[in-house]
Amino acid sequence: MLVLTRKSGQGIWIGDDVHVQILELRDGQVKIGIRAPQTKSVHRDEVYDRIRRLNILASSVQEKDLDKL
Amino acid sequence: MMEVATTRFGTVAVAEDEVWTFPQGLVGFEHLKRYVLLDSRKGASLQWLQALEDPSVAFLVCDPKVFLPSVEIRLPEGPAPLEPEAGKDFRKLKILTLLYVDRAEGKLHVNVHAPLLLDPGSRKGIQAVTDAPGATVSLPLQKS
Repeated sequence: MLVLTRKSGQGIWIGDDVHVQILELRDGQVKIGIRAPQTKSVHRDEVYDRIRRLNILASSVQEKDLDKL
Repeated sequence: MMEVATTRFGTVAVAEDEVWTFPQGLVGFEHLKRYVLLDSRKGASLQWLQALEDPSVAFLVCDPKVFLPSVEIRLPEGPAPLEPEAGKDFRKLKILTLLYVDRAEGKLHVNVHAPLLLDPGSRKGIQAVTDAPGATVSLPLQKS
């Protein structure tokens, strides 16, 4: 993993189309601004993991499960 | 017409103009981009979104307006990475929600927090993730 140290207000470019900026540091939390093309999806870890888990569950639904209705 | 192998339905004939393309795939299934909607044996209100690139992957989907009329599907506030024209007018989009089986309860649930948005014009779709922190993820499926 690439590790960089940044101060509030500083940013990072990822490729030539994604810009991440540290907006604010307060009480152990970091506020981050992300500028990216609309084709890039950006999700919080926990949200992404939850949806991924539910999608995997959903992909295992079988024909017989229709009888559960 | 192309012949598509599926594990649930055997070989299915699909016309090219029936294909839905998800340029980003679904979350966790980013490698699968092309799908077709097939009516389930319960009728057109419950359909299977069958992946064309993996015979074993199909998602049971429903129109949330039919099964969960009282539930408001919230679309993401952020940019919808569809065609700009479709993104401007959500009313033109077809919205589908994924179903999964809660194994503990043995019931079908609807995931209302990651709906599929399909643009009939471009036949492109995305899975929108509405990421309200702490929001509950699913509701048991009710018949309307």
